[in-house]
Amino acid sequence: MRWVLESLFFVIGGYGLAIILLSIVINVLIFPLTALSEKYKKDDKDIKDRMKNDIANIKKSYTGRERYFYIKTIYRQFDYSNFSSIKASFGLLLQIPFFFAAFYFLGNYSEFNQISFGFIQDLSQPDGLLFGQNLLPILMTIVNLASVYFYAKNMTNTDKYQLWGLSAIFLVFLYFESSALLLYWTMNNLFSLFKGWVYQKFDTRKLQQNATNLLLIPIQTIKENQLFYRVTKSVFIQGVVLFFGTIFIYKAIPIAASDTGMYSVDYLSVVIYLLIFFVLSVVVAVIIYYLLPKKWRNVATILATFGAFSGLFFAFIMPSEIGRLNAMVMPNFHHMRGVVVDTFVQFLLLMIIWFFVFRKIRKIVWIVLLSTNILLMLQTFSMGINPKEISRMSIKDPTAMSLAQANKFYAFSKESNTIVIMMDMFQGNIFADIIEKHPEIKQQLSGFVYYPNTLSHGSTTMLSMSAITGGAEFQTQLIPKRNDYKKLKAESVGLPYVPKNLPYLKNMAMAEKYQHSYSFFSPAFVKCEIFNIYDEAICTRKVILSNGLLSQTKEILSMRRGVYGPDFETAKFFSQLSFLLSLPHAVKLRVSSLLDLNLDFDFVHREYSQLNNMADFSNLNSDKKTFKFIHNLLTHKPWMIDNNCQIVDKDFKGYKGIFNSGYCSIKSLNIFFEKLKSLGVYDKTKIIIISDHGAPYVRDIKAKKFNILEENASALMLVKDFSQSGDLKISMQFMSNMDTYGIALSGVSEDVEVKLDKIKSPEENRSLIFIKEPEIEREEFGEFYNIKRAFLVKDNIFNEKNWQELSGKDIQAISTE
Amino acid sequence: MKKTSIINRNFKIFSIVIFLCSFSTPAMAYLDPGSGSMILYFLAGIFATLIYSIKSLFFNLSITFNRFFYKDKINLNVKKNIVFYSEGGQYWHLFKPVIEELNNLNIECSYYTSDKFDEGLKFQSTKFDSLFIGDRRFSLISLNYLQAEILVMTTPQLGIMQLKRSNKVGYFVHLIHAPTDALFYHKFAFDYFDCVMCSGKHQIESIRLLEAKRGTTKKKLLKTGMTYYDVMEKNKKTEKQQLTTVLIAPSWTNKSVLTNNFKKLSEVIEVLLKNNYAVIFRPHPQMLQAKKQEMDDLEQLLSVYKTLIIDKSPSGVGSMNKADVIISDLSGVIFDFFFVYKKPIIVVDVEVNIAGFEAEDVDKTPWEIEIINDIATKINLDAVEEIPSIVKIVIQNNNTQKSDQIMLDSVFNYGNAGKVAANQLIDILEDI
Repeated sequence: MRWVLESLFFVIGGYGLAIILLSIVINVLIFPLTALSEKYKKDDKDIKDRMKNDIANIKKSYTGRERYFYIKTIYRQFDYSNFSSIKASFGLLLQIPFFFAAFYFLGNYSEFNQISFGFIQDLSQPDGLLFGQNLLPILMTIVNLASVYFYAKNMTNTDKYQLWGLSAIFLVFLYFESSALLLYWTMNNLFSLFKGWVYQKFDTRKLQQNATNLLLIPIQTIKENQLFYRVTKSVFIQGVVLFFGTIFIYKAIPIAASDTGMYSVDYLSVVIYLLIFFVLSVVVAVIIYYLLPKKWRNVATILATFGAFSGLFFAFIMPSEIGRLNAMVMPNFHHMRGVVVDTFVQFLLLMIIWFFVFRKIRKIVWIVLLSTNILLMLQTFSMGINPKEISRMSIKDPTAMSLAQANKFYAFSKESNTIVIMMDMFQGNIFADIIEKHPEIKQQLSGFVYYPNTLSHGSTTMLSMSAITGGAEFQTQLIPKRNDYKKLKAESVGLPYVPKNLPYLKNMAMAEKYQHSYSFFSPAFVKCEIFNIYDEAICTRKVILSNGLLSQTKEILSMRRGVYGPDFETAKFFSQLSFLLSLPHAVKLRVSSLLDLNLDFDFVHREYSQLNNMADFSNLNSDKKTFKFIHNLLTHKPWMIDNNCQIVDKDFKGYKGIFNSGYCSIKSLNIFFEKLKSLGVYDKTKIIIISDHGAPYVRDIKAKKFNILEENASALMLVKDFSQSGDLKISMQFMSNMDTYGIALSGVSEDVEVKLDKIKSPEENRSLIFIKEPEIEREEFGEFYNIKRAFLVKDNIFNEKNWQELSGKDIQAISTE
Repeated sequence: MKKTSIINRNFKIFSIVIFLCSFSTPAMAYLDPGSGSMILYFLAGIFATLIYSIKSLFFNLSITFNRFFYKDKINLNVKKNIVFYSEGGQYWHLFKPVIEELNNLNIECSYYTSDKFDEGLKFQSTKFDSLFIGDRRFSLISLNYLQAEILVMTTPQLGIMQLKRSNKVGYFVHLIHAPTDALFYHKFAFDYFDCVMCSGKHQIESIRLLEAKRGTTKKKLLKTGMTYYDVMEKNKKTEKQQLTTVLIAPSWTNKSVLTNNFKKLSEVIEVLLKNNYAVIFRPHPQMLQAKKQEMDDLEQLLSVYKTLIIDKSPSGVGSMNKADVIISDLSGVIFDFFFVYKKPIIVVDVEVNIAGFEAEDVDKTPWEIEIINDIATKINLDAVEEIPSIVKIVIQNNNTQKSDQIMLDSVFNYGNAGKVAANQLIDILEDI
């Protein structure tokens, strides 16, 4: 439509005239369709007229069952079944896309802005020609009514009233639409009026006949083709086509076409592979079917149709939201976790029901399968024919950050900034090995002090987070005794994470107290809404994806395990994705793990991008002092970064993984520090780099320099106070990652509050608790804070003698302190 | 748009599919009067189809449920040769001559009935077996599981309601059970049988007309005859009574004055009794049940007359043997009386209504209506006092030659229909 309009505009040079011609061109083009639908409608009406008397007689003499069965017999005798009535509406159904196209295209075409035509001032606005009221809608209605007059001559009064009613509805409906649209509409109606007049004045049967033949002859030819006829008629084949269609083409091709930029191979070859997969699967299935004994063919048909409908249901009718794919990475199905067994049982039950009802509804099943296949094929075709490449920087993805947001979030003050960077799972003792291998870091991290002897409060993020953000009073073992916690628990039973809000809010309150603006990155653990109570808080999880990193991941993904080459692998990826999408939601996660697709590139390049964002978007636009808390997961497993800091298709399990990701994140952070230096605020910035725990549950994570009993108890701590410089220093002071709160507070308060800062107010003979395991590995309210295993650690975490595992009694004792 | 209930359910399914696949396209429509009328057409279609589908679902479910419930209660899974199905004991005399002849010819056959007290169940022969297959409703469902080469029955409307054309039966035969025309059956009575065994040419004509009108497949229409006439002919005897005996046997139809107006009925009986006629009043079996009170009153009222017999026996043969004349309405029994006994008949003028019957669909006067003027004398119940004299005249003027001629024209193979039917079935068996 756009093409026609623009060509017309090109030839004529005026949009108004172009619209009028557009209407004529479209109407002429779809004339065969209109004629065909009129013919079908007439045929349908004829057959109904012929049955009319018989049915009236039945209705007069019989009721209930008899009436129903007799009328059914009349349908049968008049051969009025299957498609008779579908055909009658076929023309309308085929025209609908044209109508929608006109409505959306002409209603929203931006080129019409400020374009006048004749008396119409602006084609993109309602005309307002009739003393401020709109003239065109009224004109359209007059034309409409005239058409009704023409068309409805032979109709019953009820039919006429309904048409008048509809004209009125459309007057209201379109009254405030743009005059371009109304112009087109009015022209359409004029055309229709003209057609009605021609039909009445001249013998147009021949013309109509020829027009319909234009469409009918090809259909007839196809119909006469035996193979085609068989394929169409077979319920099994239709079922298999829908089943494999959903897996290989109906879903896969539109997704592949929706953004060809996400993979590096040729779109067309991906489509060809998908089509090959599809055809092969269908052919194999059909061959197997014909090899089966007759008895089993029926079972095969039932299975195929069940599979097809199940896939249709989960992939199209009740699809799961997967968001936009950023690269060839399986979307996260975690949120669809469900009870797999239940789903299986439900599935089985449905299957049994299907076995029972299939015979009864075989014909209906066939019609649904056939029409669904046709529609999905049309849809796939229309979407697949027009592949798009989407510019990364302008994605309208809710998880992507806008430039404005980035500028605001990474705004620093010229006066004072405090920034906590929490690198998840960065095992603190390994940092010593990193600086040994890469001594240049010592110079780069100027002004920093490294505290290797830092004990993590907990072994997981959940266990440490409260104490890191809220300080010692939010130690895990103390939380159940807190009054505010009890109150919250009573108010909101069953809500996960709620008690964690308290330390976060405390963290924010510190910023508020000393008039800092507060930025927080990490809603994986909290909901951003909790910060709404403070105007100056920005909380986000949004990232601007880095193009460089994206191309890296794309390359890896397209090269991935490519026995048959990247084209094949890409097609395979989309097939697997569609297959997953067509599965019941509750089993998606389980099956996706079986498909070995879990190397999560999406996560890695997001986190990597976020570190890059810090350097790229930092600016001095904040007129307030700033306090930022950034939680980054690049250092979390799976560790997919090689020693050149490239994202690779491999999970470096253990030491190498922690080492590479740790090194590379420090390298990225260093670029950020360089940026701060160039902005001239490095000295005005206090930086605390910490981790929430070391690496748990993986082998081979022993650090070379500092060895520790429990690896996940080794937290990273690097602190640079204001106006510090010089090479990285190392201090063996016994620290905890829960000291972060106090250290940050002294930064925000500019040393007014140093009591809680264990660097500035060191504590003699310190002993700390390390929480190894909570009672239950569930994060629901109340259950998480009961401790199962804990250690008391003194002085030096690298000395095994200083570790004492606490008994149940001891745990009780420390919890009531 | 009123008549749109005839839109097929497939249409609905198709529209649902469209709806489901039209993924989030906002529902807006476009209208010019041409497509506008089509939209209305479409919507009305959806609505009508919806109602039709709900109905369809309801009836299909009830049938499925019944079938599921009844299935396998009776084992019909052994393949049979020729099966006769009888809805009730009253039809036994119709099947008996055919079965006997098949036995004589050493052809195996079976008799399934819905009547526990069917005499056919007592019939014994080496090549014959019989079985009670449950009441009528039950049977119609069980029959869907029957395996047989040929199924012969008097039940009409095969493939219309519960009784389906099962593919386990090779050939469906309808045996017409009354000499009257085929036009006073409910709709589609014979449409889906493979063969109809007719008793007279008027039935063949009517069925051919129906076939032509409906475009249904041309059935095999056999010139068989009225099989129970074989039995009647054998069993008939004339038991001459002292007084001239009038048999009053109303049929069970709402239109019959004799059935509905007991006052009139008693007047008719009484005037005959008073005029020295003996009367046998034979109420329809359903009348005995439905109008018990009225029947009791009537008996009470007429108990003073010794020459009145009220005959409640299942078979009317005894009464017909005794009677000299019959007064009835347009029922099958008058033709039996006329053809088998060759005795005169008097009919009460009944308004004939063809609505809802096969007769509605063809442009033909049903045979019985056409012939009635030739064979019967009509009386008007408004002039009850004239009835005795009419009876007298009718008996005097009875012309058996005329009835022979009419029978020749209207009934095939009189007295020999059983044999003919058996041979016709054997021919069919050989053909299939």
